[in-house]
Amino acid sequence: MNGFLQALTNPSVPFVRNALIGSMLAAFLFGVLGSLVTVRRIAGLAGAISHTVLGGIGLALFLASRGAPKWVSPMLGALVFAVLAALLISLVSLKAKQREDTVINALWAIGMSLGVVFLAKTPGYADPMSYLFGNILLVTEQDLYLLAALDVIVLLLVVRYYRHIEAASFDEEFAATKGVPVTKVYLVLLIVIAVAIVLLQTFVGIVMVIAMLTLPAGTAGYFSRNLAGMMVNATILSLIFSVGGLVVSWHFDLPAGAVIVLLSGAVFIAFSAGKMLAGRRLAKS
Amino acid sequence: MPQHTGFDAAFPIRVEEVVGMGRLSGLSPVAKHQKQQEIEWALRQAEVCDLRERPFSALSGGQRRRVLVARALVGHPKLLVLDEPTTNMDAESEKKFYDVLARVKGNTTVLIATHDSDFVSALAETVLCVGQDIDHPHSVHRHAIEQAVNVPEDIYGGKVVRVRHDIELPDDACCEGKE
Repeated sequence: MNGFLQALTNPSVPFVRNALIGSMLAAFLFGVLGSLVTVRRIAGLAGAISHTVLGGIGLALFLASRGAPKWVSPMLGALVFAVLAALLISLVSLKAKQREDTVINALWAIGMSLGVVFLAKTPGYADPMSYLFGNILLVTEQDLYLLAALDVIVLLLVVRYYRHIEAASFDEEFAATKGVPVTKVYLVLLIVIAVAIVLLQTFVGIVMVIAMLTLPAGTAGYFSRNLAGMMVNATILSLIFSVGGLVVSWHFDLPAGAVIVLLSGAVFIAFSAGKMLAGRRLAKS
Repeated sequence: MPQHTGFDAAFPIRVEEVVGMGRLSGLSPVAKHQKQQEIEWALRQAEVCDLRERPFSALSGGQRRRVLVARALVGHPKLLVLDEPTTNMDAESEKKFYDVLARVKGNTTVLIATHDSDFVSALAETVLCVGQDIDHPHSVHRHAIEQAVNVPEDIYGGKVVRVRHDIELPDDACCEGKE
């Protein structure tokens, strides 16, 4: 802990401070968007979006190596692929409900394979692993500004439209009869999630974004009385997990993203087990 | 109000918040004080005031239906359409449910869809039989109702009337004197 605090205040290693600010900004997105992903049961969908991101990153790196202009960055490629995937999945889920899972898994696999193929054909060293698992210590100042901007946008949207989001998530049919544009709400939610995934994957990586979108919110769901409470609790949990994971990984020299997810996963499993045991005791008595 | 209530049991939401959805209108913001009054009124109408703080998922089937009626009442609807509202309800819940409908009846037209073609709740003023004529599945006939005798009340959760399918009433009988 002391070592971490020293590193934090040491101006020659700004990446430690950036990592800490990044994990705090990310915690808010994990908490709020994670709660919505959890109550709407679209974790698989978010998983597919995040994995197609690798295809976009691969394509951008490949094009850049073939002399594409400078603005063709991995971030842009990731963003284009993520938003396209979100639109495609929502189109399928709105038009043909029964095959939604097939499309989700197809996109998941195709997006990732595209990424691997493009990266293989890109000269120089481009390791898919660094995109899959991320490296929080590589978070740049620009990433922090983007994360902060998205935090503000999400906060404004959720505060202004909380009741509408709640109704559309709980009972879409009823919300629609009350004139709530449920399809638009769903689309905006997916696109915000897609953008968030692109920004967050630099922090914990593609694979672990999904874990962080589901585990803290899932844990919070065990003791939250309403959606707003779930969002607040999930944000607090994410904050504890990310900062705690960061400190632990620094102390034991372990990959930060993996430690954060393991911490979140352990607490989630502990809560699930506790809930199960409590349920059994109730059933017995 | 739908017959099946396939809600996510894990959705964290309290009864009061479910009822509050009835105040929504498009994407416009909801005025807080007005909303609270409306919710209070609807909770009282549907006899679910004591459940307001409870999680929706912790309620029994009958309680959930009454909460959903409260939610529908918030907007002061002219017409309340209920699709087999008392399916899978025990007699006590059913009676309570019809008590709620009796209170609603004065201000809101209540339309109940049912497959029980012999007896309907005594609250009914008009019985319309759909598809009685096999050749015309969309045909609608208005049939007379009469006091039912020797029907145990506890099966139907309240007083019922017998539907006389052999006596047809004129279509405009419900609009007497109103043109």
